[in-house]
Amino acid sequence: MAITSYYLFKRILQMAAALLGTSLVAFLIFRIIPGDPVSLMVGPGVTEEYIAQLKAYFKLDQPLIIQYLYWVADLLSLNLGTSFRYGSSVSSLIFERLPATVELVLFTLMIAVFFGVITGVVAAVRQRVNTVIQALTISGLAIPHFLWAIIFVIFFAAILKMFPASGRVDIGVNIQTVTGFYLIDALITGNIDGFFNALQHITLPAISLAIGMTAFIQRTLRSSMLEVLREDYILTDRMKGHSELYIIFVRSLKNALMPVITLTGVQFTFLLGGSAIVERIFGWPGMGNLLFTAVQYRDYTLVQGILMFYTFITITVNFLVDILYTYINPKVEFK
Amino acid sequence: MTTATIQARLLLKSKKAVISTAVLVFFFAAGLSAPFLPLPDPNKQNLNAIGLPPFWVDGGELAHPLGTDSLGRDVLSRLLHGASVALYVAVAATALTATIGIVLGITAGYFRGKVDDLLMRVVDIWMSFPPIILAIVLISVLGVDLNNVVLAVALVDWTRFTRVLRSEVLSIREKDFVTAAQTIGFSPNYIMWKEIFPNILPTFIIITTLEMGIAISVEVLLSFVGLGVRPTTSSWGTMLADGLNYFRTNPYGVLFPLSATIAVILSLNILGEVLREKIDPRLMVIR
Repeated sequence: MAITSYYLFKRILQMAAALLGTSLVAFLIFRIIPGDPVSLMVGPGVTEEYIAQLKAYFKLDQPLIIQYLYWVADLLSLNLGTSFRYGSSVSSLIFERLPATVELVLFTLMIAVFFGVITGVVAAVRQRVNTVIQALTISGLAIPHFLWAIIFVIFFAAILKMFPASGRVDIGVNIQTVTGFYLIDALITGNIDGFFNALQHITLPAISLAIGMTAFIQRTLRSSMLEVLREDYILTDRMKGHSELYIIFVRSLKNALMPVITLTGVQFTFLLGGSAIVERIFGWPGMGNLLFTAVQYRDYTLVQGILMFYTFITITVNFLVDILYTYINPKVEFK
Repeated sequence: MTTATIQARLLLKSKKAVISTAVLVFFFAAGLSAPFLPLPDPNKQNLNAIGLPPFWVDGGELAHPLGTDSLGRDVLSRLLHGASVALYVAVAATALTATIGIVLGITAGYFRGKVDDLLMRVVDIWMSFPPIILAIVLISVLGVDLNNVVLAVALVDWTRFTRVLRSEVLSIREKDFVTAAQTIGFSPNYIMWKEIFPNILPTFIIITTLEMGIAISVEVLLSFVGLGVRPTTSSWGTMLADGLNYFRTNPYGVLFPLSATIAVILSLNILGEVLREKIDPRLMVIR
């Protein structure tokens, strides 16, 4: 079924409202800073005049509502201000590090979907739950990303020395930048050594992020698939003599995936948050690492910009998930 | 499935509950008693005894049963004082989050209407922020302090509580006993707290158990990156950071805080899981 333009329009409006709302919250958070943010940022040993100048620059001498309107106008023009620490524009700093974060998160999603779907289907078809799978699922759901990252750093990087513990590639390995995604760039430019080097570096951070999502997909898919397999149309398929593989992977998987897709939006939000800390542990040069530097130097313009950018990504992904869901699920009504 | 296997399954489940409860009782006891036990000062540095292994390993001393960290501080003492910190955050943050969640969830679910609509929009907006990022940003604004960690957890997680409890209330308020109470003329306050609240208690207990696990992992995470406790407080997170830095010279330094954190978080989750299976009638299927 096609998506009506009315539904699309309504959903886009909702997205705009969410962006406006989050921008208000992000704005207010930085107005509850106890004391004076500017003096906190620049530290001691600065003249009063300079501080007054900065306050005027950040519009801190204006009423709150005016400050907020300026902030929204800045957001719309993607002008997130200038970073104190780096002296360059916040948006250019973020865009520099964006590919690293996006590459890590997309690679994680690929791993999680692949293993989550396979183990979920196996668990549903086998009916009885394997104790090992159950233990893995519970630890996958319960143990946060950063603890997995620490475990992997210790075990695979420090003890077994199978994988590098930090960075995107080894020093000395050059990958020509085309898209900013090292794995893709290395393949495009035919740099096979570079590709495997980048693959080695992304493996541990991606797996530590993927475990939780894999467990989540596995569990959701398993229970929804058990339901779908009991439906009449599957019985009809069986009577028609379709092969079991066809019934499982073609006929029932598509319907069983629906609940997984709806819940992916929320899971993605957790994944993105977790990626920040995993980036920090693995020295991954993405937005998360930038956030920690910004927090450390009390670079509030940069912190605010990064917060808004992360939020923008989650809102966009949730929007896309909704569209995808209505697109592949014929049962959804359009209102 | 035979009755015997079903019974075996149920027994297995209660075994999970027994073990996780035992771990948690131990953790609570350790956290509560740490300040009163005859332990060395967790912050006392001894630069002559840096990076000692536990006593059963060559080079270990009985004076420091679990060894010392990179500044010669006693690991056992720090581990137990770290349990106090984790316990404090778990209880305080969960209590604060639960209070916000209960009040907002019950009133919004019971009265519905415009206030409910507005509240749910706010919840939606709030949930667009990746939780960990929001917590880090809040700490950067509030400052590094244990109580700010508590505040950050509550400010991030109140949405989950509110949303779950509200949807429970929405279905319960349609039940006959609520209509009866309204017909008799009980006040909304009485109905909300004496009639509806006891019925959402099972769900409340489950999400509270899970929230404690979340609060502890947020505290450990923030302390790990230096945004949780002040440097003078010993937390499992700061121990993890120190242990990871000096892993090559003393691999045991990271082992103890890591196992402690995982044991407690896992136990809380398993307990929540078992409670959910036992309490939630919608999930009352033998699997």
